[in-house]
Amino acid sequence: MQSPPLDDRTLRALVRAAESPLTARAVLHLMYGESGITRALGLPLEPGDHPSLSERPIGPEELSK
Amino acid sequence: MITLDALHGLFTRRELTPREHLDRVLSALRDAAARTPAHAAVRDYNDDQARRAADAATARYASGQALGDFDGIPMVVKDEVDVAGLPTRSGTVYLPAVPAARDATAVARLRDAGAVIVGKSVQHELGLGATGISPHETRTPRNPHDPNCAPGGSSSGSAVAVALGAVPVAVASDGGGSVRIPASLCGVWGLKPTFGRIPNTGDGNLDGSVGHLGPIARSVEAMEKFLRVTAGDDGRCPVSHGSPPLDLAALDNARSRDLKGLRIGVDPNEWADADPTIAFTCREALRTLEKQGAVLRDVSLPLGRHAGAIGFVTMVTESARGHAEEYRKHRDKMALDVRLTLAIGRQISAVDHQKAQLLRRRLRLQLAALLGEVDLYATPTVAIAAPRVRHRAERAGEADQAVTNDLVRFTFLGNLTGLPALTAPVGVQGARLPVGLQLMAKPWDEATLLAAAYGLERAGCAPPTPAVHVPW
Repeated sequence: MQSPPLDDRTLRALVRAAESPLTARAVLHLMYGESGITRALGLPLEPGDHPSLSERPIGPEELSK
Repeated sequence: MITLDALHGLFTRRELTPREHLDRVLSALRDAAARTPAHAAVRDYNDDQARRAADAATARYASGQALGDFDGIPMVVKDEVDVAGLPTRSGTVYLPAVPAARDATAVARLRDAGAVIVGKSVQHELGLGATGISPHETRTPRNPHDPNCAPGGSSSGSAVAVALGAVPVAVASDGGGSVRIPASLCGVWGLKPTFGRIPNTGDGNLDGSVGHLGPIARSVEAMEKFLRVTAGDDGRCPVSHGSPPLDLAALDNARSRDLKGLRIGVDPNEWADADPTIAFTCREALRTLEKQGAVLRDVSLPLGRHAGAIGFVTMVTESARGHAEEYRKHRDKMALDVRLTLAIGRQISAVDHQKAQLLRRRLRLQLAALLGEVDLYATPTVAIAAPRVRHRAERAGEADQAVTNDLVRFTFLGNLTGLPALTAPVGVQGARLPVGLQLMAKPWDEATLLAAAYGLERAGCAPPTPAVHVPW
């Protein structure tokens, strides 16, 4: 469903706010809310949640480089 | 509407030469671009280079020495993918118009197979958008099914060129759905292979963990042949290094494979998020596979509903890192939606990024377990039909998070897991806007995806003829 259009002035104001140190966090949280990120990042971690990319020791392939 | 196979047949029987056809293609694309509103799929043409390639192909067919199925076949290539002799500007107005020195690996392989590169296709700026709406001079290539509607993005021009019928296949790329979304909204086929299957060399936008190259096409056969030509490690792309070779026997068998017993998973909770008419049309398509022997099974992917959010955090932070210099130097020239996305990406904390990656790993494990129960996982490709282009959006850029969420809702799953996924044109909605069905398979098993796609094609799934098309 398309939401009511943002006019250019509002969009420009949003960009300015996102680029200002004072207001950037507020825009981030607005976007987090609209994109469902707040809900996703609020999920509790589970015992099996573990970084996947850096957990293994360096392998023979890396050592040979 | 002409397919790769039909075109190759005309060339082989010498009923048409690649050069004659190229001249028609160039005219057709320019005619579509001259309409109001425009269906301008191509940003930069290279007529001379294309005519030389078409002349060479014509000579090969005349002497019985054609290179194969792609010889003389016209294609367009997404702006961000390097084509020697044409600039790579990634849909921006600020990257320099300096011709690339060499072809991207995929383009070089297609050219070696005889493909005629017509030009660079329009795209959403820096690949950072799912609508394809652009305020820049390239404008928005309007959806051939309804000129009031967006084509989808980010590979907008590639999808429009194929949907118009100007080319049978186009080069596109996909970091969150950018092959599948425009293919679905424009009513054509699109394939995102397994992560690393096709080298990303020569596409500077694909240096993160979610980017893939793939075809948008008028037929399943064109996708299959594109995959055969472009797949395989090139020794220069870290993500394709060590990728297994294509299973050629399985690919050879894909077209005629018996679908009896093929298990297709459907999560009813996921489907409930799609527009009901889209979900209905996709369900009907799955029933045609059921009639051929496939078995539909209800499955559950609890984290699926969060794939869009996890994907957004992942892709936007990777893009903010990858485009830091462009942002620093050129943000005043960016479309406002792209500038906003990059500004937000710069603000996402390392803690949030890592949390998203932990959830991403859990999502991968959930999907891996699900694919232990079924051979394919099916969803609608997008949750809505092609959105309308608002006049205002073409002045500054479109920033409608609800629409973006609905477009990437199902596609990001393929990018976060690296699993192969395709979109099939399975019908039209009430207003005659196309509907796409997404199928995903186990890693490196594009052959099973293509087998199901051939099954859909046998049942009558094909690109619908749009309101605006090339009358061959």
